[in-house]
Amino acid sequence: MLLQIKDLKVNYAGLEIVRGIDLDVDKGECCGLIGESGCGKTTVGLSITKLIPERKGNILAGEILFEGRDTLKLTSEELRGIRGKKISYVFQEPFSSLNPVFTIYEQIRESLEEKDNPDARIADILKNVGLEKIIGRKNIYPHELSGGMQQRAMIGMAIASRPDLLVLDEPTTALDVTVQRQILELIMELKNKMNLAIIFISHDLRIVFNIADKIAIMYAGSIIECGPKGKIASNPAHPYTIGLIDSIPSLEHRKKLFNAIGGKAPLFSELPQGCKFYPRCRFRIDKCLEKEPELENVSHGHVSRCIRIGDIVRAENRHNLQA
Amino acid sequence: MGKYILKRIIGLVVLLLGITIITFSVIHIAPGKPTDLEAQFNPKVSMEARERISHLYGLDKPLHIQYIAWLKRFARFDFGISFMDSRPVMQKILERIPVTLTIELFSIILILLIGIPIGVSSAVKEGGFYDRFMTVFVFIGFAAPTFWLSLILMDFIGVRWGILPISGIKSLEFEKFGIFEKIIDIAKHLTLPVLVSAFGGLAGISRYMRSSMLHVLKQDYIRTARAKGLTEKEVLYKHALKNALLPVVTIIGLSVPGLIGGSVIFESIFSIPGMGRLFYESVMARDYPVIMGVLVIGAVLTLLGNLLADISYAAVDPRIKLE
Repeated sequence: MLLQIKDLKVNYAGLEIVRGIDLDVDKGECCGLIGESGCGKTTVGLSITKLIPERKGNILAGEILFEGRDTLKLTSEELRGIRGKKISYVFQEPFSSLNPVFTIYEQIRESLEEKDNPDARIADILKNVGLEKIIGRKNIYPHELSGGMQQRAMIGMAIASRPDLLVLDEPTTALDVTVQRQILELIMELKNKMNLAIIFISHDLRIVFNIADKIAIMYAGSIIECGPKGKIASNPAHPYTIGLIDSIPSLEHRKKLFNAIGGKAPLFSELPQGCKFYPRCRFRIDKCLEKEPELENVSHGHVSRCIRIGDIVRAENRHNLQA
Repeated sequence: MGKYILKRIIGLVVLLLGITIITFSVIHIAPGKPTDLEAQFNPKVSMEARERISHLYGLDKPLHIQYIAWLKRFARFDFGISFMDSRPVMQKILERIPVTLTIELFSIILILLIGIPIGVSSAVKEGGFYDRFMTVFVFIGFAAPTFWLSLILMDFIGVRWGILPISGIKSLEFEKFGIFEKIIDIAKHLTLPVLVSAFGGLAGISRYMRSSMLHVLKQDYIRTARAKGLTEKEVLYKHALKNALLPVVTIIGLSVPGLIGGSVIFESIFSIPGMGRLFYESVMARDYPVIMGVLVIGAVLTLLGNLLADISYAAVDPRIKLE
């Protein structure tokens, strides 16, 4: 296993917004991390190399084993050996994530592990991310590129040192739909070529279904369902997941069991007792309020945090039969 | 670029014309006349004599005629003759500029050399003891009245401890000194004025630098720089500092007019024959040609300083193009 997150708890701005997360990512595997804005998914990504601003948040508990070593226990010197070299990041807004006063060449050069003969390496990277146009043009600044090209440059920086793990935090959210598709294709191509493991953080289930091998769904700071893409798609086992899937606008006129999920995600300052999804859940019963459910096996490699798994799965199957 | 500067300079000339019209009018409308000093306090001077003086200076003509006459001379870079001692205004100003320029230049260099590091380090250690200490320190400099601070320093350093001279710019036996001793002598005389002036200006630049740096440190590209595995030094002093310095460039451009403006207060206290005192004396005597000369030079430098700020901003920020 390349990366194992074990019972990660993170405090951010005085609130525990990651409340015990377990997640494994294998070599060459793409894991989608899904959730509404503010559910803690970005914080999980940043925690992997302790990138949470010290002033704002701190990691309360847990282990993050990367190649067997706990990154949370590493010194800042050791962390720098991992950041950008073995674990790289691509963030949401390419324009604000690139430093406006340094050239693209300079910013990619900084990410290179071997500093000798950088121009040839940079040219190679630019070719790999589809930026052949700016090869040799050393005085190009970020603002001279389009959003899609900026994100390609970010990806170029991220793969410059041939990392093992790529953390992509909403890498396509700020882009046009057509450009989104190109960037996703680029990511898949690089993943296969470089055998990259990927954590793909997104709120868009459609994108994640396209690219992930495994999907973890977060709600209010914890994972409520996790499993292989196929199982999640065909047999969702948490009311929230079902709601998310049914919220995807479909071109086919499928009769829906659920509409879009009503209500709002709870604030971390006023989390409900018991199951955190209770206020918005159509399957809720009084027993849900007693305590927060544990993750339970649905089938091999597929877990869900719902005490009514059995009823839901049956209802969903019956619905499929009727359809 | 060349076209832009040409356009700007044409605009500046028009603006300067406007400034001269307004200042000329205000000065002449203000109560008091140049003839007062010679005539009012001397009962022997008759009405006719007063009018003769007025006529001699051309003050009996309508204001717009006077202005056009002044403008005609100004177009030939002739600022006229001082009412007070009949010496050319240009000559009077030129003998005052070196000492003021020296003091102000050293003071601004000192302000930048001390203020920028204070601002940057305060931002990096935001909220800590160092940050709070520096805040108090620079605001003491800002809030303490110049005359009071000057007197305290003169009392202790000059009178009680006798380390530095307290007034003038050279010693009595200056002419007997060798060239090296002369430089030392002037330096000793200028130390206190430079320190007082710099201490007062420290708050502005350091607070500006601090807030600029704080703003930059919150940007996404700083997170990117950290995620790349750069050292904290590279993150702060390469990626952050270059961005944070951009607005400060403007301030340096805007401080150009202050270089020859001088300060009435500390030039008076330290008995320094600088521009500040020249201006003060000429205002008190309603010496119109000198007042206009000093104001116009100040206006020209302000306008050129603005232009310089814009040009230098474009030079350091790749996103800004002058068109």
